[in-house]
Amino acid sequence: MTEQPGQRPTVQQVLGQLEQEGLLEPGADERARAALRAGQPGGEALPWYVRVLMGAGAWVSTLCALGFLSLTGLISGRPAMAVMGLLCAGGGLALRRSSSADFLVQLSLSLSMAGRAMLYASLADENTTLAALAVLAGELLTVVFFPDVVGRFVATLGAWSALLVLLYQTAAPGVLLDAAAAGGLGALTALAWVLQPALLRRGLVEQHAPVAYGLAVALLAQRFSWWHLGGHTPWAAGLALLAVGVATGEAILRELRVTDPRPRVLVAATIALLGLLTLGSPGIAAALLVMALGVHRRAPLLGGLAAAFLLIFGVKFYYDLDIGLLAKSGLLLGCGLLLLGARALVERRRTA
Amino acid sequence: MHDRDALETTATPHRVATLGEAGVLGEAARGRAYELLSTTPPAGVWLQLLSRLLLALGAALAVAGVVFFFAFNWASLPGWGKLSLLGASVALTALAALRQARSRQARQVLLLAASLLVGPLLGVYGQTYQTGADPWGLFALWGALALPWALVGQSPALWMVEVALADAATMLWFEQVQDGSERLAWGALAAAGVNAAAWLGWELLAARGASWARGRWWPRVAASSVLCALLPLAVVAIIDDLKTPALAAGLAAELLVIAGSLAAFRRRDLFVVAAALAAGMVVVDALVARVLFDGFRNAPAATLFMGMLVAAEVALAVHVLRRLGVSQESE
Repeated sequence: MTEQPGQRPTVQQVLGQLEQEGLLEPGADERARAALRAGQPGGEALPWYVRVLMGAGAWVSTLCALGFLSLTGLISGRPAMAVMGLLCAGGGLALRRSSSADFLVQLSLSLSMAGRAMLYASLADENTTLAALAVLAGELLTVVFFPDVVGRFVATLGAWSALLVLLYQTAAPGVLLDAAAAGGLGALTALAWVLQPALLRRGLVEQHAPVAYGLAVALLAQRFSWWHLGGHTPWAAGLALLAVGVATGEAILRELRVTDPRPRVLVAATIALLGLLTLGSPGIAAALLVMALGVHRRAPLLGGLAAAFLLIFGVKFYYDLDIGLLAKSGLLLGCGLLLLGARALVERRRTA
Repeated sequence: MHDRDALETTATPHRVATLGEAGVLGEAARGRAYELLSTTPPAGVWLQLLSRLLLALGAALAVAGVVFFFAFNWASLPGWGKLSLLGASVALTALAALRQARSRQARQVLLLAASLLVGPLLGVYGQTYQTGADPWGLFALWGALALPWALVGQSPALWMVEVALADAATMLWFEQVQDGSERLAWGALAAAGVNAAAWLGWELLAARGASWARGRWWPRVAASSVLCALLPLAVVAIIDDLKTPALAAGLAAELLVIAGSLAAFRRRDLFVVAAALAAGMVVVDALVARVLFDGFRNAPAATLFMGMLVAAEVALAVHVLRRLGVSQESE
């Protein structure tokens, strides 16, 4: 079908392919056209910028709701806050499951987020581990039961944050924690995208996109220092992401049906080399992994997000290098010429 | 309603699910459809993308390396040496671009590098010969010198640099040359005007069929920048009772851009419509907040009302976008 970089096929192209493979009877176009015009599957069919608008609106409404409750003294104590939180979260869930009208969808998002925020805040002072467990449970329940793309996306970020807190509550050495946090999230992200067809076939159509995008955003955002909760050993995170990158490369090559061991070894070696060169800045490895996943599953939004983060992490990497200007100059120029040389080799292979 | 054929839209998991629920696709067909829409691109496409990535990263790193080399040796170089090195860099990258007859991307990247190197060249000239010119003049001259390359390169990135330079020159001119407390506000207005002119120019080019201007990300960035530049002026104008002419002009300009975007783009670019609606919501919220918090002085009720208002506004915006055919928009 289509061979444009990052571009998904059209519905027409998919139907044509299915017809060729004998999985669809000829003449189904009109029925398909009518079904698509009639079907309006809620917020899930909306472009990403509309979902961002909905999410931003939900956040502002949530803050206003919390402000109202706080100003009126209705949530002055922890028990009152917890009860109000449960009521709001439950009410938001019930409202969302019962209606898909746009205003009620917005309201349900705000209610749910405000309720969960109050519930978690009421537990925060008690015990960090208990609060984190409550957040993890609450956000996972939201991912499973709250039928909304924005709600599930935000809940995925919340669940991962809670998991990070729980991880760093353990007494394990910082090196292991950093490796587990980066490697675990990298592996989950890669699995979510590599296994996309299988997950969709199992009926997880509504859950897949928000969770997969949520994991990718969490992976990229986690590389910012303010999200680090424990040890600061970026090389451990870099090694873990390197392993995930090599495994992902192998999965992609398997899907491309590349059986010749030479390109497989070359790809693995290239990924390993890139990973080792940027070991001190695992954000670069994370961005390259997400970019590759975006290309692999034809998700241009993912690729664009990764490109933006790659630029940020790349600049930070060279800014943080603890070497003199002349050495930095040589390193940058050398790397640049190396990459341009590699590009010449790739072009030669492409045009051969 | 949207005229686009539903079958020409991008195949997404939700559209496949819709076809499955409608009985158009059986279970086996649905499973195969999920594979088809997420199948990895062929090896040739991977190589093409890898080539582009290596070109962009390699060029960026090489240019950065040159910049750091200059930075290291700067103090010890005589003035003519600095100018010669920079001038040679500009000339070499521009000449290299001319030789890239077959690779349009390589030509555009080299022209971009040449355009970016003109700035440091002018900066060093100004330092060496102490011309006494204001910084706004540097950006204006930089933009003027890089303009021919933007015209030849036909690249969105080159034009992005041109517009950024024009914005910088405009803002600095108002800050450094003009007097008065409103000069920054007028500067923001003028910069918004520059971006609006660039945006309209781009739309005209696209309407005339220029192939390199077909992409929508550039006009979307331009539209967003115009709306964002005017929005603070509009909000402050509402809060401050339109105290100054610049603020009043900012509010009027923002309302004009919002209305114009909704009218002109409602069937052409839903991103621009969404951005205009978002800006409109902020303006309305500022007005309502001003009335509630200053007029009624009941903070809890006002806060609750604002929350409900925002939810209602977003719901209305989503409803409008959906009716404009947003569900048919490809990602």
